[in-house]
Amino acid sequence: MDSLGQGMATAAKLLFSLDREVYSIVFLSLRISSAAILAAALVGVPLGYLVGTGKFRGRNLLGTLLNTFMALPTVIVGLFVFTILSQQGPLGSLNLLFTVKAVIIGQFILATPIVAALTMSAVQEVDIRVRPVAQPLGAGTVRTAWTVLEEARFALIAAVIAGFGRAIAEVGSALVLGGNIKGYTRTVTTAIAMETSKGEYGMAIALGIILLIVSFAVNIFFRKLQARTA
Amino acid sequence: MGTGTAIYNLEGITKCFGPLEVLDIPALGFEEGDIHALVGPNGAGKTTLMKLLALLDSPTSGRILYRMKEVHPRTAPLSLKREITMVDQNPVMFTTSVFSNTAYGLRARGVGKAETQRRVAEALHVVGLEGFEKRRAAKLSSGESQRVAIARALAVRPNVLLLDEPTANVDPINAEIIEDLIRRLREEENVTVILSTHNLSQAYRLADNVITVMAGRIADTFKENLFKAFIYDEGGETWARVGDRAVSLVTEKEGQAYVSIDPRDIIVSHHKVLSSARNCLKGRVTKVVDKGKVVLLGVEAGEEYSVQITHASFLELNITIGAPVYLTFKSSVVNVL
Repeated sequence: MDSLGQGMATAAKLLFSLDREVYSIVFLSLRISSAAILAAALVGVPLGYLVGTGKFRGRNLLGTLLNTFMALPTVIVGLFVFTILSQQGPLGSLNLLFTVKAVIIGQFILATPIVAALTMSAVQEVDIRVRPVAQPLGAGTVRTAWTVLEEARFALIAAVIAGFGRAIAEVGSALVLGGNIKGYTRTVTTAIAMETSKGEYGMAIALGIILLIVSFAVNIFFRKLQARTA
Repeated sequence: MGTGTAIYNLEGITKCFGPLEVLDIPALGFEEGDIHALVGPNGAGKTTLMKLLALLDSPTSGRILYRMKEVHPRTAPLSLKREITMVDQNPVMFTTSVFSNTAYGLRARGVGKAETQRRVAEALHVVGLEGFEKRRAAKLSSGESQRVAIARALAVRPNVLLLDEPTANVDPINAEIIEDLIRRLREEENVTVILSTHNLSQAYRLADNVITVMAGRIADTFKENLFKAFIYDEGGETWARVGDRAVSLVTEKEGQAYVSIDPRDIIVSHHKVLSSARNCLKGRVTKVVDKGKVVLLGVEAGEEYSVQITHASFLELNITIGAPVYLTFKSSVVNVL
């Protein structure tokens, strides 16, 4: 109980003292997760649309796989990308391991199935209602798809929120791929893990509270966006 | 009015959903510029037929000719598909403004901004919804939605406008507005209208050509006074319960069926007629449509009957709306379908 109180106090102190290290960790976390979710949305939304509305063999299997990948353990993704990016791996020559880019790749892989699977279920419903209206009005394939996505926008924003939550909160792959290098790949979650292992519970809880505040702010932003489009 | 040329010709069309055959039409034509009404009970195949005509679905077998050329949903070019548009029975509004909804087809065609604005205003004017541009389309009543859906279809200036049950889910005031609108379309725009309805009197009010669809087939004869009935035997005679009345008929069938009576086979009189005809129903005149040499009467007698009489008898009988009349017809003119 003492740690919690201490954590609160430390959090307040860190936030209001504008501690440079803390702010740089928070901004790095935001930067990494934003880049990851942007890429995940660019891949996941079209993928979810195709699987949700397309008519091709293996579509059901793909849908089931996407749903399964929503539950990918983060540390497994970390290990998987690690083996690919390590010196002996197929992409070792790119020297990406223990860089910000590697962390982004890990989070991208974690967030994409969430965005895609949620997009899939959102567009399935909308497509049934919208396609019979759009097509007789002369909409081609691309415009029909665009209209379906536009009509599903509320659920799409929710999908992006869920994907972002997954990315910013995960620690396993960020630790394995980034290595928690101070000032370079240290994110809020890897810092929390480190402070906990050091026994600095106050600092760990403070960072946890800051992460929650950041998530809260991001969610408010998305909520406002949803409200505007509704 | 019709130009005398066919816009559609159907040849040997069938449509099956799994093992179930829902349409079987050996031959059917639609004249350009006319209003055609597909009439039949729910589940008769009207919507399925309209979807084939709208190139939204393909027949299981047979050919659809559009302007004498065979067309198929998968191979028809977008430009041809864009000549035909269909308004659904429960049209979905996009969750945008009425303006954006109405402009949808124009934007799909890449029509310029000024032209789009002009044509949206024009289309909304035609359906009597000027000033609705900025309203949220999702918040409209079902009648208003139906009108926006028609405006949305009209804005693209189609050659063929397919309306699936345009007034089925609409309040009486909006239904009247929509009927009026369909009539005006025929006079003012050069568009072929094909509408489906289960309301016979509406079909005859609006259409130049009434096509009866029954259980996936085009009924070969003129079928008016088409009623759902329950056939049973009582006192050595066969009866059909039509609305709340019993009608005598000659048939071997029993149970649920459709019956039809040719409007020309019904005699109208002010007093009960004593004759060999087994049916004499008391009713009330609800409608009078003067068609020149003949007059069509609507008579409420358990169901709404259409009766055709000559202009001369109409004048002689001095029939007025609301007047009580007797409908007399023989058992043998009641057709069972």
